[in-house]
Amino acid sequence: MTDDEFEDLINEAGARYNLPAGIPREEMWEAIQAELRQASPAVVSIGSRLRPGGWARLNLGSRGMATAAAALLILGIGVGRMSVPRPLAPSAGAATVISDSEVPLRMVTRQHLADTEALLSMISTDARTGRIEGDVGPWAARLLLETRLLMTSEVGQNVAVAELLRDLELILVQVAGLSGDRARRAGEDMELITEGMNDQNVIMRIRALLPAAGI
Amino acid sequence: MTDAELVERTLAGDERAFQELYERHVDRVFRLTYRMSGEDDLARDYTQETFVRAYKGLDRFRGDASFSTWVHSIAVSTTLNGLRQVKRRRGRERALDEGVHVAVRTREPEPYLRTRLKEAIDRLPELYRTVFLMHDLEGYTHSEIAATLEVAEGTSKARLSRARAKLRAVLGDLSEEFAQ
Repeated sequence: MTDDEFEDLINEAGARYNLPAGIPREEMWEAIQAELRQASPAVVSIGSRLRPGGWARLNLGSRGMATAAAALLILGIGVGRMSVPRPLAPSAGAATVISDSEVPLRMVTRQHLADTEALLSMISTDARTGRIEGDVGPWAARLLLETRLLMTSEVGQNVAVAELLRDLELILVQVAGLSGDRARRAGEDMELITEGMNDQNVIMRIRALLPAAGI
Repeated sequence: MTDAELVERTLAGDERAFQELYERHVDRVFRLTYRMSGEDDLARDYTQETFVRAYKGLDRFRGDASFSTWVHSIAVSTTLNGLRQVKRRRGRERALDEGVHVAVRTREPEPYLRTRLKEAIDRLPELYRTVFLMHDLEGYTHSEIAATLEVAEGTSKARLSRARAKLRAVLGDLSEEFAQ
């Protein structure tokens, strides 16, 4: 066999040998997400497909904020008698914070914590540049309102949750104060905010509580 | 956004960043696992496992090498380990299959050579076969292969040379049969 004949065969092998007909990207991605969710319930979703709307739905505006506040009040007061949740140690992630009968409030709390985690994660990432991309003020303001409502609800009776909500309130107050141009020049403010986040380890505490919130 | 930035965002909790990393690298990873395994189901399993392991181990990713090199390292080790298990399980089936292949011979020299080439590639020692697939069939450079397999470039070149020598020896014998 000549060198050319051998090279021709090798080149042909490249076009034939174990060559996939297609790449099932979507199916594999869904399987990966399923496995990671199974491994860690705190991984609520990976990628925007399982969290429909992404960031867009978070910008509610004044009417949206009022609606969110009203919904929280109704859930916290009008759902009926709530059982007092078992005390949860700050580091524990497996105990149930809210009983199974409190599904609506549990769902609201879960969503609130997930949204807050998303905001704080984005801020943590943007902190490296000393600038915040996008107008996070209204977003933080809505979350601040929800945080305060939850603090006064049955959920706030749980020791770990109450402590977390108090810490989140302090951080969200600072973030809500960043708006418009000020957000884009927020170097020193960002340092204070992220310092507070790191000192209180809020993102990790949120993730630890998310499974316990019924995810 | 660079891969390094996406890794940072993922570690900071931005889960969509990991999806972006997946979409950037899944094609090449899947092609490699398919080349190595030859089966769609196995290639899917190994690709999925690769990205699951990458996600779980992202906090240990040192950033010395590129994310691409790192995830391909995981893919190769995952696939090789998986294939060893499959080989053990199918050992008896393969012995029977080999017997069938020996008995089958077409009248056309070229299709027969292609078939035998495939078999010869399948039978290459694992270390040689991996380098051969990556370099000659998938177009990885020796630098990329060396980083992925954590060997010296010279080792990558030597393994490729031996792989091609083995293939040539097998094919050379077969082509002479048809020349007679």
